Amino acid sequence: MIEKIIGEDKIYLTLDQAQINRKYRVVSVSAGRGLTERIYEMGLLPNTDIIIISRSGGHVIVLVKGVSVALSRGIAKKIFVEELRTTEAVRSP
Amino acid sequence: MVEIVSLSRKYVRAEVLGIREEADLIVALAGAMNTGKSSLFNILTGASTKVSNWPGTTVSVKRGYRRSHGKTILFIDLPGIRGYYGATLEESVAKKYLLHEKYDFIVALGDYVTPEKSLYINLLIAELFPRTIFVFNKVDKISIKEAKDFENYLYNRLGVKIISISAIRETGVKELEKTILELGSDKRSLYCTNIGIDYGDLEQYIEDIIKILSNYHIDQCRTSLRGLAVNYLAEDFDVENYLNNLLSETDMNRIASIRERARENLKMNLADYIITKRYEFIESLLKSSPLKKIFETTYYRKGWIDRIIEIPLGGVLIALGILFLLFSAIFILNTGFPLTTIFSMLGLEEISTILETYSLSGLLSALIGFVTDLIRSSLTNAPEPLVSLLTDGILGGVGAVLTFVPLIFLVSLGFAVLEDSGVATRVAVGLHRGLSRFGFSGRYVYPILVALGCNVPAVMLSRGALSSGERLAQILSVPFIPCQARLIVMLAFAQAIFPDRPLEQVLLVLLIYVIGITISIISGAVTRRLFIHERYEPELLLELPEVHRPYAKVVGWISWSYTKEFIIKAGIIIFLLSIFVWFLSYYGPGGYVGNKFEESYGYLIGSYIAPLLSPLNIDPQKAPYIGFALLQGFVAKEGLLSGITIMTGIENPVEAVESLGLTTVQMISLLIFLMLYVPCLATLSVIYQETRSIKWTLLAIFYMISIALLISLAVYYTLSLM
Repeated sequence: MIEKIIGEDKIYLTLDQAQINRKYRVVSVSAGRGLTERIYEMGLLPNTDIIIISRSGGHVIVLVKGVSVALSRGIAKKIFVEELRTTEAVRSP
Repeated sequence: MVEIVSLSRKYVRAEVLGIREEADLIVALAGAMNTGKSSLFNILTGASTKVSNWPGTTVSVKRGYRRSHGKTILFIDLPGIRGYYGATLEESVAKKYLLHEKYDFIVALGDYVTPEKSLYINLLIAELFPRTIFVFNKVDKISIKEAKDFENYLYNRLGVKIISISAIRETGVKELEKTILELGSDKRSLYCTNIGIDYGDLEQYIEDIIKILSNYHIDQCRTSLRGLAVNYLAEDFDVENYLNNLLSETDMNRIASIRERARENLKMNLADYIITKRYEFIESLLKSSPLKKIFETTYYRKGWIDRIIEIPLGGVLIALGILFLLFSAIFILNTGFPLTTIFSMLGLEEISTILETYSLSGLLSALIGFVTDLIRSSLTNAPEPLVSLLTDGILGGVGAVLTFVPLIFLVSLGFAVLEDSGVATRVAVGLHRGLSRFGFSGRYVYPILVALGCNVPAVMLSRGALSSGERLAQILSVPFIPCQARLIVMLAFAQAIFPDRPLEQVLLVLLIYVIGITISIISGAVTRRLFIHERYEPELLLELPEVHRPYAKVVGWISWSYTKEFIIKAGIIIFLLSIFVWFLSYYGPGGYVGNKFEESYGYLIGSYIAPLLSPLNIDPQKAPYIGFALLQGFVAKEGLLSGITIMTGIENPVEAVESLGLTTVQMISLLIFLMLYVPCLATLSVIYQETRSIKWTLLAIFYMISIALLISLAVYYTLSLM
């Protein structure tokens, strides 16, 4: 399910729908008090670019500010992102 | 007035930690997680580490000394932090220490691999506590010139001293030591950073609050007014408490109304705004810094473990299988089991025997046996109680401690490799979803895996828990998992209950495993609700350490420190308790009883324990036998069998169990009780070592006995009705 925000051309989705190995930009975080701050402090704040490095049914791992952060689906659903068009972002070891 | 740091001897007044030791300088070690803080602390303090718990919590704070140029520096290792707001108990402890306790300097640790993240945490600390020195680890990842340039750059921009080190290569440590001593001895130039982050629209409110705060006596080099104002606006709970104790009620109301106005004006959560401004500041700081290149490359190297976990449907299970094999290998090395059983079932008895003899514990028991014979043969004329004390008592006690040493070393070695390489966290993340329903994080998988072999190192692995509340839940829950020793008892009972019916035997053993593991998982929710009362966030938001080849030094250090701690702390308790139990078994109201167990205190106690099992309708004549076996099983789970064989006088354990004259239903329910009823003596000693609390240790016993009774009665009555 992809959410389209009316009045804008950009397509926003929540982080749990993001695809592996692609680059996104955080648009907004809509969680309760306390949790939003924690998400921000982990570096996931608006206008930050992130790369999805791993995902499964239960969690997403993103690379943000050089650190990989694991988020459960519940939290990933609260973070809105937009996709950035870039070349392959993840390098093989 | 500013307090001048002098190098006169002083008592550390961190009384909350029970510290009253002398030191010339006190340095608090703070910083982000995964930056190598423990490694640095270990290098700085060597073997002098002591651990205390923050009052009313199980959050541990380590401290250790370093002697340098005739001075003693005391290092306090505070819990690592991920941020300030929405803080965990650990983070709050770190902050409380810095707000209220004594220190001369703070060393805030970051690293060159994640400069942005490290600066966020370090600036957070330095903004509120100006006496902060930055230490950037992993300098081996960049060039010396880059590091030097960055040090100068940061000093010019923020007035922050920054020292580059490599904890792995132990470079830069001497320089850190020198800097601490220099700053500590120079009375004229007091080191005091001034972090001027631009908070944009909030600036006027910050100024207003600073004006009010400047009427109070606050050592501004210890706690900066600006830092207090900013964190008050961000509604930091600990700072708010600090100000509440300091300010008059009128002034508290005044700053509260300033915060209210700021909120109305900005129309957003102030903490979110402040965090955003901080990251903007760091971004502009790094963009023009010598570290620009690292900052702008955001490549991620995928490790093999990421690739395995990514496999759809079962990637995590494959990873789990690999871990299971790793720990099985450790247990085979230790006792030969379960490989020995497999070989003997295949008819290869000889291989099985060789394997058992040359396993670590086989060699160890051969050694103990040799020394026992030596003592017995050289003391032929000595009185029997003395020989028994030396061999059965003291040597038995030493043996009880020693058998665990190689096991704990190997398990912690295996775990340290997983932990340091970053593999442990990644597998745990994959398992988080299932376990979080019961109040555990995915990290509980390690205690579970290890407990299948032995509960003692499993309790120690609770250190990997994400919070101290979870850690307690793990400690109370993991001993329900049947260990190898309990499997031996299970096998004997299964053969006695279902003679010559292998299918039923296997099913019964599997049933016990399912019961044990299920209880130990559900127990997370139970203990959290009944005893721990910690609000738990089952949601995962966790920073992962990078995947790399484990460093031999770090791995060696972790496994050695686990082993050392076990020998020193739990070892002494196990040893003393073993001698006490020897006394109970060999002495009775009539003095030394030798092999006549019916006259010993142990038997007497056994007959008092027996009524506990009366709901199972066990013949009162036989009950003391089982009571005594319970006592033996408390010393070591395999003692349950030897207890029964000694009491019944029948050598073969299976026949001994049969001779108790119990019905099938009674035996099954008794077996379930025996599997769950109490942690063994060694596990209990480690529970005490980890919680450092008699209350929690006794609670563990009480809790396990209650659950064991409950389950075995439920099984008894259900089966009786069938």
